[in-house]
Amino acid sequence: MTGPAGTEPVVVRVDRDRCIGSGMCALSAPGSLALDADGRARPVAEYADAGAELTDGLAEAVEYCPVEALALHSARGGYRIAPAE
Amino acid sequence: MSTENSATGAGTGTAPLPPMHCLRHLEPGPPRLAALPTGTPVWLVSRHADVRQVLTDPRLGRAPLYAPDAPPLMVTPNILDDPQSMLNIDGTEHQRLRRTVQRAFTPRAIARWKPWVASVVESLIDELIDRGSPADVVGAYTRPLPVAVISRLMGLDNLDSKRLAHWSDHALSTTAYSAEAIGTAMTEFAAFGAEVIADRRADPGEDLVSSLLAAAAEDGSITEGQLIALVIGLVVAGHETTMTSLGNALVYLLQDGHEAWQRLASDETSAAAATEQILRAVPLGDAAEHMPGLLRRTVEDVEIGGVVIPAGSVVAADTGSANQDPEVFTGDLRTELFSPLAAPMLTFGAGPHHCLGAWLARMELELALHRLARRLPALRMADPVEDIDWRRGLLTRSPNALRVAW
Ligand code: HEM
Ligand code: SF4
Repeated sequence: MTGPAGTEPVVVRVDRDRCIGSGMCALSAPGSLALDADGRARPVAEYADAGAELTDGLAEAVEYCPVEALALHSARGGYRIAPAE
Repeated sequence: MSTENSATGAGTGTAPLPPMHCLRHLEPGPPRLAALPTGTPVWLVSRHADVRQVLTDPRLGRAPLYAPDAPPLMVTPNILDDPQSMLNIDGTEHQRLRRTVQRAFTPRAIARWKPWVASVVESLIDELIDRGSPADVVGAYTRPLPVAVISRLMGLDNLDSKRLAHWSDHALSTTAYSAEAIGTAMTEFAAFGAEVIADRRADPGEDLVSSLLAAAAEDGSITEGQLIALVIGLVVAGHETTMTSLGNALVYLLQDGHEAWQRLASDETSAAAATEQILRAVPLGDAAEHMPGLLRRTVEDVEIGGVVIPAGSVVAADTGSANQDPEVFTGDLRTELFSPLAAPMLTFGAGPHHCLGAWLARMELELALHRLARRLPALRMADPVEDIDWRRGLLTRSPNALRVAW
């Protein structure tokens, strides 16, 4: 894992109005995000509430979302980690 | 089917075509069977939710449209039928290819280009005003703007606009040209793409082609054929659709929708809202005539809108009628031009193949409409709508020329 970010549990939020259902995040980070039957992404349970490890795949998913519908937050502090404000 | 139509010229003895904002749409309803111009059966999908499902559901794809057992889709195939094109690759292979360019097209990455795009818009308007009223707004504005933008992004300083127009018209031809003419033009266009790639490998710069080549080299799985198709695909997609949209937006705004012109000039927020509504309500092409929607093929039985569509079927997602679905959208352009969309419009598609250039196109349209309205508040069409010379026999339809006065 890269640097201190990896030591801190994260949650991922999906702006479901913005999500165009590309499925890219579910391919990059299948352990963190899945495509719902309605064609919108949703965080898997642990990434939706308690928080879990920030993997390379998840960081990539956030960076490559074509519509910037994904945001990473610190599970403890609540503040946003990525994308930068 | 006639092959005599030409992409330039209105033809003789034909009734005037309705402008694009007046086209009638299929009444949204459950999926129904129809036929493509090749005779291939196609399921027409028209409701907003169903269209979205067709485009996002992994049980439907683009690649199966070109599998060995696939039925003929086009009487005369064009650039969109190239199996090496990003549009026709699915799943992780598609994702790897798309990642070579995706970062350059996210909303933030595109926003960085805004001041530069605005300066191109202003200088084109300066030139238009210098030419004097009346002038052709297609030749002076709606065509050169997107060409300048994609050329700059891709670092194509010496792109000859005549050759580009020739390639693009052939690339998106349905009935305008023969298979042979399209084949010749696409071979030349691919040679141009290969040349650009060779140049950038020898002498990389800050442009999109250099960065996508670096990303592809790092990935290692992308073929040369896919790279060429991507480069020439970006050149065509990057200007043709934006030019079409802008031209048709002006046909609407300088005539039926003229009362909105002043408000478009007032602020960028209004122009942004109007851009979304125009993209929603004014289609790019004649669905009924050329292509009933965005095509997909089922890889297994799929239930869509209460109908089971068998494995191996061709499905057309009619984004034009989904964009007018009364279940989600109310009101028409005249009353809603500056209102936020009630639901996401599907003009840029959805799912894995959602338009790469959506944010770039939006920005160009917004700036182009806002700045033109601000600089030329009295702008109007110089000739009646019935006299418009349309580009014909292509997947998209827009004015070949549009005389305006101020
Ligand atoms: C008003 C302007 C535009 C419209 C309406 C439009 C529309 C679309 C649509 C509907 C698709 C999806 C096709 C499908 O799913 O079958 C698409 C894909 C695509 N568009 Fe656009 N487009 C526009 C401008 C642009 C621009 C400016 C660029 C490039 C810089 C671009 C590049 C692409 C590419 C590369 C794809 C294929 C994406 C993939 O397969 O992953 N488009 N566009
Ligand atoms: S990558 Fe973005 S747009 Fe695509 S499914 Fe995930 S959240 Fe939605």
